[in-house]
Amino acid sequence: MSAPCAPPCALDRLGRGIASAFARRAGGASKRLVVTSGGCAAFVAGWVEGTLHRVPLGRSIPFALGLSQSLPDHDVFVFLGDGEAAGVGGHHLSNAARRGDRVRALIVNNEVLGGTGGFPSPTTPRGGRTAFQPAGSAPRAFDVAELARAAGAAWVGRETVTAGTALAELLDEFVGAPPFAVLEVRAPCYPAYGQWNGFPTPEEMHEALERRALRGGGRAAGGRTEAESPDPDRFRVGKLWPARESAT
Amino acid sequence: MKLLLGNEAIAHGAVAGGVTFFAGYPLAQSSEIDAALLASLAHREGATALVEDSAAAIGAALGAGAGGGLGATALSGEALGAAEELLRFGMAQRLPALVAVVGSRPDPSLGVERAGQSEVRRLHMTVPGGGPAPVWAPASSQECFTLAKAAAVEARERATPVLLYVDDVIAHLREPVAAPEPDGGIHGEEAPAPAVLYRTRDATVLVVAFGIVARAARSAVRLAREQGVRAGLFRPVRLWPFPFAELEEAAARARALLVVELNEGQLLESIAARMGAARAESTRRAASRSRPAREPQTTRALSEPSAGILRPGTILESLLEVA
Repeated sequence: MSAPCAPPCALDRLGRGIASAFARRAGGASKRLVVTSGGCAAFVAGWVEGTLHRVPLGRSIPFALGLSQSLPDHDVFVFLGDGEAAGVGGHHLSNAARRGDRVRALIVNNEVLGGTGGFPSPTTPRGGRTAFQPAGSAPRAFDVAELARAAGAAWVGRETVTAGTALAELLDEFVGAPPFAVLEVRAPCYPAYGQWNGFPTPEEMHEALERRALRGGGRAAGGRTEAESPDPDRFRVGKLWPARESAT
Repeated sequence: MKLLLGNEAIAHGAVAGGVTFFAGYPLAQSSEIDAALLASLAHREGATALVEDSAAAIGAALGAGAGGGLGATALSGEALGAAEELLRFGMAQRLPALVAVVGSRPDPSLGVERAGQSEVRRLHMTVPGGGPAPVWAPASSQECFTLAKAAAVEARERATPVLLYVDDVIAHLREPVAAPEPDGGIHGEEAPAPAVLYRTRDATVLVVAFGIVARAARSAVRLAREQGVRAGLFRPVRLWPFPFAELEEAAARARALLVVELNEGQLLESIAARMGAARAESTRRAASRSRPAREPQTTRALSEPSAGILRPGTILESLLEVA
C-alpha cells in the first residue's frame, strides 16, 4: 500500500514505522481501531492493520471517544493532520487531553493544508510561503504538541519523519503510551509547501527540517533546550512529556 | 408512577431502551435530558462524557454505536446545524444513535426559551436527496418515555440514528409517567402507532398537529363538536417519514385540512405537496386567507412562528372558518 505522494513527502516511512510499532505491540490487529477524518494523515492509515473508521473532517477524536467507550479492551488511535489537530478539530484535541480520553493521537504535521493544494494551516510557520499565499503566511504557527501538553495530555512526543531509529523508538513508546497520548510527526509537504520556500528538492527540504529539530532533550542528556534556543522556528523532538527529570 | 419532565422522561426511556453511552454538550432547552442521563449512567465507568460542542456530542454517540454500543445525545434546535453533518454521516454509515432535539422558534432565541417547531423541514432534509432519519414527536411525558425507549430499540435494530423531536413545552411539562424504570424487556415490543386519531371517523374538517399544539387542537376539536361542526384531529407521532397513508385514510371524508404548527408552515408544505390540495402558504398568526387552488380539499395553515404557543380558542376560530 502506498500513498499517491509517498516518494517526496516520506509519509511512507511513517506508515511503515507505525505499522512496525503496531506489529511489535501485543494485542494484534483485531484489538486495534484507527479513526481518520482526512488530510494526509489518512494516507498513513493505509499502511496499518486494524479496523479503520473514516469520519467527517475534524471529528475523529469525539468519534474515537465513543468507540473507546463501547470497546474498552481495544486500543483506539486517531491519525490527524495538522489542519484537523490545530484547526477544525483543535478544540476536540485540547478537550480530549483535558478529559484524558482513552485515545492516542498521531498527528502528521506537514505545516500546510496539503490536500487543498496549498493553503496555510494553523501550523504554517510565520512567513512560510504556500501556493495560494506566495507572499507568506502572516500569523504565527500553533505548536500542537505544546498545546496538547498544556491541555493535560498524559504523554506527548514529537519527531521528524526522517529521524529513522529515533522515530521508530518513539513510535514504539507511543503505541503503548498512557492515553490521552499525542505524537506529532513533522512531515513537510514538498508540492504544497517545500517547493514554494526555496527548497530545490524534497531531500533538501527534509535536511532543513532536521536542522530545525532540537535533538537530545533535557539537560541531563546535555542537549540544547528550548530555553537556550528561543528561535520559534526550532522545535524539540523526542519524548516531551512526562519530562525525563520527573520520571527519574 | 413518577412525575417527570418530558426531558427527564426521554432520558429514562433512553436507558430503558438500552442506551449504553451518553455524550453531552449541555444546552438550556435540553439540559434536563443531559442531567438525567448523567445520573442514570453514573454507575458505569466511562458511560458518560461531557464534550465541547454538539458535533462532538453526536460524533461520540455514533462512535459508541460503531463499537457495538448505543450512544445518545440531546440538542436544542439551534444546535442542530452543528450536528447535521454527523447525522448524515450516521445515516450513510448505518450507525445507531438516539438524538433528542428540543425544538426552537425560528428567530435566533439568543438564550430565551420559547416553544417552537422550527426544525420540521430541516429534519425532513437529513439526507440530501434521500430520505429523512426516523423522527418521533411525543406530546406528553409518558410518550417521551415510551417513544425514547422505542427509538433506542429502533436505532439498534435498524442501525440508524433515530430522533426524538419535542417542543419546549412538552420538554418542560411535569407529568405522571408509568414504569419509568428500566424493565429489561427491550425487544419484541410493539412499535408505537405512527399517528393518533381523535374523532376522525366522520370528520369533515381535519386538524393536523403534533406536540403541544396537538393538545390545544384536541380541545379545539371538542369545542367545535359542541357547536355542531364535525371536526377531527390527526396527530402524527412519527413525524418523518410522515404517516401519509394514515392521513389520507383519516381525511377520506374531510373537506378541509387545517395544519397547525409553531412555525411558518413547514409541515403544511409537505402535506400540501402530497395531498395535492391548496398551495402552501406561509402566514403569521392568522389562518391563511388563500382559497384552495383545487377542490375537493382545502389545506390551510395556522402557524405561530413567534409568540410561543397556540391556544384552543385561536385554533377553534380557524377551524370554524374553514369548516
